[in-house]
Amino acid sequence: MPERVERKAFGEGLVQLNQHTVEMAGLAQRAVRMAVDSLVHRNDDRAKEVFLLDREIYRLQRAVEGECTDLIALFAPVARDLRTVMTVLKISTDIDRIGRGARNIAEVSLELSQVKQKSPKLDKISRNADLAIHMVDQSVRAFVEGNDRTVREMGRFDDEVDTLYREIFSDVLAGLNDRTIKPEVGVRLILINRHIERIADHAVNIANRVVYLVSGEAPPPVSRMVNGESGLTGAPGLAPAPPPSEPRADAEAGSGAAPADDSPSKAATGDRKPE
Amino acid sequence: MDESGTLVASPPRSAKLQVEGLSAYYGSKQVIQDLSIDFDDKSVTAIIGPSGCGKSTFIRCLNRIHETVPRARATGRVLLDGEDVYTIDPVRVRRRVGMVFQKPNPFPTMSIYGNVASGLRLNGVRKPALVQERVIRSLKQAAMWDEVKEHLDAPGVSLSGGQQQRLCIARALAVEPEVLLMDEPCSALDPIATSKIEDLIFDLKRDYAVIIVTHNMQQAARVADKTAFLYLGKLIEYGDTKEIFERPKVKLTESYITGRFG
Ligand SMILES: Nc1ncnc2c1ncn2[C@@H]1O[C@H](COP(=O)(O)OP(=O)(O)O)[C@@H](O)[C@H]1O
Ligand SMILES: [Mg+2]
Repeated sequence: MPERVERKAFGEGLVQLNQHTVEMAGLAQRAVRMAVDSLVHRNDDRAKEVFLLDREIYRLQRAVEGECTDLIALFAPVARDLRTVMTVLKISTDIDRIGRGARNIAEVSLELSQVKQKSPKLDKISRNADLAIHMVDQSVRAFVEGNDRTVREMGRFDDEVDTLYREIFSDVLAGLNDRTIKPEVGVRLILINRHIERIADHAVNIANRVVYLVSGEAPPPVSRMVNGESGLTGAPGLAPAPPPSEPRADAEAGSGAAPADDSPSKAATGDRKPE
Repeated sequence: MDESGTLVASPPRSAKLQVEGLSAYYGSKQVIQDLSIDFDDKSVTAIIGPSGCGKSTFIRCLNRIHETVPRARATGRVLLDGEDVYTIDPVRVRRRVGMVFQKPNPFPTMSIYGNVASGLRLNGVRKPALVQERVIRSLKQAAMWDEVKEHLDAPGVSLSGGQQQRLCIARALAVEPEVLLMDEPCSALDPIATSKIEDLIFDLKRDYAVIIVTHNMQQAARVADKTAFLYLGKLIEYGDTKEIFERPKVKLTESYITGRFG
């Protein structure tokens, strides 16, 4: 067997990337947790803390992007080294989106706390958020361990999230119909429902990237719905199909379902980034 | 189906060179171990591997230069368009399979013009008009005509290293080979001269099968359609360059291309 050589400088760069990725993921999970807490407990302070976390996640994501660029420029990585850098680049975007999802939930939660109505039961939303957070945790853990075994069952969790997503949608719709939920509350719950479902989708993305990292297999193709097929515009009384499972940056920014960009709370919380 | 209604199979993408069970020796020392590989026509194949693994020896077997070393010999078959080069007159083999070496080696006493023309004279092209036409065309193919056309009489060795290497490429092209072997052609050159040679290789693959030995991974990645990894005289992995550099199948290849063994 040939003599082994460590590539020290490159190795240190990878360690740094790993640390930043793990740090980002930890913050993102905390942000989602706090956002949902702020909703359930009507706690505005907690919602505002989510904005800080989200900003920190964004800062780390920019740092990671720069580190990836440096490693590519300086070391021209190949094989698993290359796949590692590419994977970090992609999953850091997913983690950033998870942070943004948390921010969006916190924003809606702040708006909801202005509405004078006793909050409807939120335990399903809370449960779905737990599932999504668990998925993020699993997929990031798989990345850290360089092990794609655990994430190959991510689809099962994603199905659970999708099922709950549909149930929540129907529940809210029913509440709107029988007027136990005010429209200004129901609409916002539907938005939050959607944000949580998307966070789970990002976890699936991360899992797929880990499979690529470990095996070199290309991530599985994702079926994309065409404009207009998207769930939220479904006929009344019908639970919508969940949106396509790999979110797209442009779709997200342009989609009518993403309220954050023109939400009034944005100015109050400080602008995060141009989108 | 053709007009007569018989089934016409599309011709398989034929290999320009097929190497079958090649072994090479210096005296009793075997340095190439029963190696088989096919090289595509009109494409670039890179051969990579640590020093001493047998890259130079291997490509020198392809045009029968290996056997010019005392006590060196080779066994196995090397088929050029299906014909075993070991049954062809070696001088003809070397005309059809040209070679460019690591260190530019223009003939020191000859002019730029004379260097390119030398191979032609050796191969029996003597008509001055034809010689001139071939020299000009080869210098153009080697992307150096504009740089040297004003002083074709200057000594070849008066050129810069990168120009000398392109002169050697022109000299190799002048006899109209079908395959071009290059043994670390850029290792003595600076990055600009290297880029020029790489551009040249890119153009050359339109007309030739190019086989390049390089110890520069990035060069292999940049210029080659396929890459072969040799280790201790054996072919360890061979495939599309993109596959080799993104997802090599063999652990040894991975260790080598990521710079994790010396
Ligand atoms: N003229 C020679 N006589 C004896 N051994 C040689 C000669 N040339 C090369 N070798 C040996 O053959 C092996 C392969 O060498 P070479 O083909 O030059 O490898 P590479 O081009 O991959 O560096 C090495 O062990 C080298 O020492
Ligand atoms: Mg050599």
